[in-house]
Amino acid sequence: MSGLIPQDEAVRQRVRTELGTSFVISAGAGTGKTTLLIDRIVAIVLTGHLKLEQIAAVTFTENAATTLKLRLRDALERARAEADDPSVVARASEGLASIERAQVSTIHALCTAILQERPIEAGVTPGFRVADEALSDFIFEEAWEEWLQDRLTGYDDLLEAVILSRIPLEKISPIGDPMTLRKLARRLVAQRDLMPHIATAGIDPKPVRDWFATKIARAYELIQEKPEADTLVAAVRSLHAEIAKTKGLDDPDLIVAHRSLRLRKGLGNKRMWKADEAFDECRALTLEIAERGAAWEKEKNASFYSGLVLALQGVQSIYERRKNEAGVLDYVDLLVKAAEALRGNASLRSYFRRKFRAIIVDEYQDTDPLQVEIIEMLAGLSGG
Amino acid sequence: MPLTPTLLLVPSVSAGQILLRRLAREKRALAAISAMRPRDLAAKMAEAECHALGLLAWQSGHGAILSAKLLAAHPELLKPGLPEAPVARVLARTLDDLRSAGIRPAAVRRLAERSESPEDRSRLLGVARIYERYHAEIEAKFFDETRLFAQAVTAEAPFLAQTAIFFSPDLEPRPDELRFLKSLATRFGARRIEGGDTQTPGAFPRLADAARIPTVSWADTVFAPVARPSSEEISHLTKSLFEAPGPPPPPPSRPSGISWVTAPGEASEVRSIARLVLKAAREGMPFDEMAIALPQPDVYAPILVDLFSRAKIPFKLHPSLPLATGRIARSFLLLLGSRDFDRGALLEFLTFAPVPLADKTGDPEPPHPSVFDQITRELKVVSGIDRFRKALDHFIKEESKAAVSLSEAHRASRERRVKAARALSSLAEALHAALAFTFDKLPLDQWSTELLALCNDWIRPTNEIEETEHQLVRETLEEIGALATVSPAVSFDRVLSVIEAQLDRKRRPLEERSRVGVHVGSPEALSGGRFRFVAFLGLVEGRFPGVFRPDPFLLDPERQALNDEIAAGAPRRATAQRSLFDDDENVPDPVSGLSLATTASRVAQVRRMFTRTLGQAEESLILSYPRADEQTGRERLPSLFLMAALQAFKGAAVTAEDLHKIATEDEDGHTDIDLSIDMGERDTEVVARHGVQALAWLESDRPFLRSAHELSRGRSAKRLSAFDGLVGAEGEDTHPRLDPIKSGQAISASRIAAFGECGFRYFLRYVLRLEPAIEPEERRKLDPLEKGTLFHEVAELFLRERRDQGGLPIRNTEEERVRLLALGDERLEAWVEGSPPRLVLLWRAEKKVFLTLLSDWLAREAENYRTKKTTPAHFEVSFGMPHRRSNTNEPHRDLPVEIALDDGRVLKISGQIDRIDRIDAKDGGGLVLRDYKTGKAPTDNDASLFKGGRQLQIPFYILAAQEIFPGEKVVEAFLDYVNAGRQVAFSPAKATSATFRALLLRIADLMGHGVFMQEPSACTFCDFTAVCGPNPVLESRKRRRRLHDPLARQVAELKQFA
Repeated sequence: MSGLIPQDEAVRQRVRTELGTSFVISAGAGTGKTTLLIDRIVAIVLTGHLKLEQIAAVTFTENAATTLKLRLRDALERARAEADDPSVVARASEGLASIERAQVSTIHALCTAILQERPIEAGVTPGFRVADEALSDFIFEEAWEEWLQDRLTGYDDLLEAVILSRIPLEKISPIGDPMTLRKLARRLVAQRDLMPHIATAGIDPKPVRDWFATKIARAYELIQEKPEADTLVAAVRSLHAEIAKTKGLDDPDLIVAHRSLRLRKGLGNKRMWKADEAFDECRALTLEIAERGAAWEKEKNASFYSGLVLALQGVQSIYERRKNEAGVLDYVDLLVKAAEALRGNASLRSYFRRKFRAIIVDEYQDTDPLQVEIIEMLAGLSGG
Repeated sequence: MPLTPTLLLVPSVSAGQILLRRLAREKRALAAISAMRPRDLAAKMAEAECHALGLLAWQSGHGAILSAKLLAAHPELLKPGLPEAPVARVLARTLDDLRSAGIRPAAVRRLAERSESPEDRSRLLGVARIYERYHAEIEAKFFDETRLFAQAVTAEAPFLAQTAIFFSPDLEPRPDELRFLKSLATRFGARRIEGGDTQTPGAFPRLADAARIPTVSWADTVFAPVARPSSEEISHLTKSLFEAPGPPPPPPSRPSGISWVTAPGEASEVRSIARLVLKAAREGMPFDEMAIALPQPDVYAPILVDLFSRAKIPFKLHPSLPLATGRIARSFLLLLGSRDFDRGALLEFLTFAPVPLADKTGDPEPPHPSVFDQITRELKVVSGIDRFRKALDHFIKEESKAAVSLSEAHRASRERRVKAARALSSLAEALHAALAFTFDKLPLDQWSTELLALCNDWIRPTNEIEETEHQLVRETLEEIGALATVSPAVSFDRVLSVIEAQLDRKRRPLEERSRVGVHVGSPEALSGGRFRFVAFLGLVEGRFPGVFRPDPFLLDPERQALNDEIAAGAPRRATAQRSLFDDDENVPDPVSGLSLATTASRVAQVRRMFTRTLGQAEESLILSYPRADEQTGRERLPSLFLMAALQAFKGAAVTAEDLHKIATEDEDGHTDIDLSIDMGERDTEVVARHGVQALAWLESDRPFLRSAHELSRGRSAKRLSAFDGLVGAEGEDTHPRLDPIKSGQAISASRIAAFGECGFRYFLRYVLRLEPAIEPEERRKLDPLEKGTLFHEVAELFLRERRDQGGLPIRNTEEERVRLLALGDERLEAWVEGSPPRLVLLWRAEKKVFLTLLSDWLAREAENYRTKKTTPAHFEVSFGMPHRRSNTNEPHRDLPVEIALDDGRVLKISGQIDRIDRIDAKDGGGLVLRDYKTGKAPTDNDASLFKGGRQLQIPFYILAAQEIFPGEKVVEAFLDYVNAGRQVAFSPAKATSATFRALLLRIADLMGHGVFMQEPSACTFCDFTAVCGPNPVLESRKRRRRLHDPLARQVAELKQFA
């Protein structure tokens, strides 16, 4: 096999030799992309184009980063052993001398390096630790407990409404955390780089109740002197009684009252009414009321949900404070804060551009928009 | 032997001890020979002088406190929202580096002014300003290491006049330390011992040569007999480490003295090393000649201590672990952690720390802390002194009240509990008073005084090592006070963070100086020692070497610029009295080559340390790495240092594949049984080799093994065994004390039902009388049992009241509802009187739920009367037990119900019927019995009489009612599930059926034969599941037993009684 030359060898050779040109390499699994990346790094170092510590190589996993570093070491050792040119030997030796400091890492570790090198400018705690998932879960748990305890030891209308609506606050079971308030809080913290999609306007129950009252009053007029046994008549009577009860009730009770109506299609028997137009109008009214009721319930739920989301931002604030106190950043912080620092500070950007003169990204297809932005800012493709 | 006093300066305290011990073993006189670190010598020479100048000792933690104070005025360095303490710690290191390297504040200011970017300028100016203040404060009031070394350079030291001073080649001096060493060479003729790295910039031998420090060979010193060179193989490795492959290595010795070891994780890695240690010892190497270097002692030391202790390998843990992990420091932190009276923290402190309990409780024979644990568990208080007080007072009151009405024998036990609660109360009050100051903002000297008093008062060391640790903790607390002049009043949190950092930074003392064993410690702690055997563990990429980051306050290029400025500075002044901080221009360093460290120079330093550690091995060197993270299971890759070592060993470029080929794995003593780490491993191998016959032999000698094996066999057997609830032996007659018939005593109906639900639970609860130990938590709701009890009480109170006032039947009027809810509210308040809930919102919601439950029940009761015409008549009607004094107006029967079984024997049953209603005579009359139940009503379709034991009480109540109310008929009986509002009926006719008698006979037989089998379907709300194992295992065991064991089949057949 060693005698075979790949069909795309010419392209591979360009990657190894055109060291001033940027490349996007796309090929199938097992075709030697990573090997090519190593070849390129080695070529950059051995030709004196750049020093090893001026290259940032980004991989997708920690294991891949370590493997890449070990393979890079092997390649440099091989080059040192085989080269005749003393300058190449010297450059290989220099590369090997700085191999421990080479920035071959995941994107998160690259962001860690950026933030730890310039924490003052990035506004993070110098010497911060990176919280792995277990630690960030632990800090979240503390934040959640603090937030919850604060509310549970006093008065909180929203939380009381949650409890009385039988939404579970928290329930940790061996198989995980089912849909609870705690889980919602955890999700909001984990996705805090995204804007929550919530209703922003409040809702006023009064016009809705008035609308219901008007429609039901009309339906009630239509059923006068109609047979009691008819299901449509019974439903409208029930509606009439229920809407009377909602006077003075607050929002959740209105919903409860509405739910109890159980309006459905196909109510009533036209033949029993002996008045086609009245029947049609009455049935249409009940359906309209049912639809409006369902929409109102959705609005109410959305409003309740947005209230919850806003309240749960308190958990996030505590989470941030606790991380600060502990001097840790979680994985989301690493990306968000590194991007913020590079975006907002021209001299920082230029410092790292000077420091990392070449950037090599393995598995580029797996990067997300924020990671791409960071890489582009480092590469000078995006000004921040 | 020399008559000249000899002093060897070594890099670690341990190195001195190890060398002197070696000398002693060689039967050399030790008089006048000593070894110490340069820092300790400088202290001997100059400390008194510094004190005479009115200077205070500067401790390592002081830098962080002073930096924190100075940082407050520099928002450009401490962004709003960032915690002060960690920022201050990092800054303190930078400032200390600057002082150590002899950089003057003016130089940093000049650097800032030269800076091109405004951000860098702002940062550097901030650092320069802080540094000016920092060094001015130290210079004026303190002596730190830099000042100590500088002072020692000129200090009078007559005791050194006739002393031969040698420098170990393994020193790794700071810049100021190097100046001191140079002065020793100049003034006292000190010499560096030959050896070590003379080529690499920054290595001590090269620096010493540059400083013209004369050399001497080991052979020309008194240490010659113990300074054996490393083997040729090891020497070659260390010489060519981190170099390009050079000349081929010498042919390896057979077997090679260098081994490469790998293992799946850290624990197995330590196991491999333990076996190699045993092997070396068997070949005649003394344990004291072996060393294990742990670059991550916090990870490895606990594993190693545990394993070596089990394997009975003597070892000596050199100061590597943080002081915070020692008993005394940890106790002190736990003491501070008790200030909020969190039950867990308080009990951890009381049970772990050496607390003078007799003093604190005022009881010369204080209760054991486990009694406090039990009491606080019962109190159900989780935190807060006020709630503790209230709960303890309530407990003492209730227990004292209960004690009065008991017999003498039972009273003593209650009184002991009262005494223990009083002791705990005194202790809590004393602790609360002692910790009150921690809620204030105090100046540092006052913090120091108060904390010292607290430590002395509450923590009493129990042995020599704890005494030393106590002394170190006290020193730490004293050090805080020294900074009172430079820092204003601070809060507890700030002081705590400093104490924690200090206890983390300081090392635990050597466990026993006289102890002999394998030397274990970090490479730094072992540095300078010589050993025949060295193992270096944890060579994993990313862990060792760790990640190197530049100093964020003074970046590498800036450090380099300062170094360059020194190198190119003004000509050196020839003066011995020069201060490091004169305001004149830069003075070149008299010993060039060492200055401010950069990331690159720190990497080089770690490389040197690695090389030196490997070079400490004389005969045998072991390098090892774990292949996986034991916690996450993730693969780990070998360290670049390990690869470099392999390359040096082979003399050619190597790949990870080469390492895989050469690295060996532990074989668990398979090949050599004498190298088994512990008895378990040895026994396993014996059985593997000789089969199960060997097991019988081993069991004869090992009771624990025998029991464990029996347990294992029993649990996995097809038939029931003593390990899962079979108390009686097969074929044996029934046991008189277990058999409810033979015992002659009445058994309660509820116990029969409990047996029906789960025989094993019955066994634990009623035979062994075990109580579940439930960890109290903040009350969030009423648990089902509490809810049931409360409901029962309120319903009974209400109905009795109505009956006695002639207010029956129930009508569900507003007046009735208000009264019922008032009773409910009253009982709820009384229920939590001793432990008021802290989570009031949840408690309010829970109260609402409970009161709604009562309202719904009232409506059902009214509906019952409307439809069935039943009126509550009697409550808590007991039989077969003494008549309760508070219940004398209810019907009662002293004698138990006697049920004649089909084999002629008689089963006696006692019990208490929750409630009996009467149906109006005009509606047919008759009695209606009910038994209140909490929890979920059963939804299964079990049509049997047995119904999983859940309804076994009811038939007894029917029989009892017929005895208590002769001539009256029980027309209806049911279980009343109040939460669900459902009633599960039981046909009264079944109580007298032959099937019921047969069922009882079967149950009595099973009990008598000690068949207490686990029932997996009853696990959901059981408090004893911890001793039973996972539910699926119980299920499968039950299925297997049912197939093979007649007794298990008999249990399974209970549900066939229809």
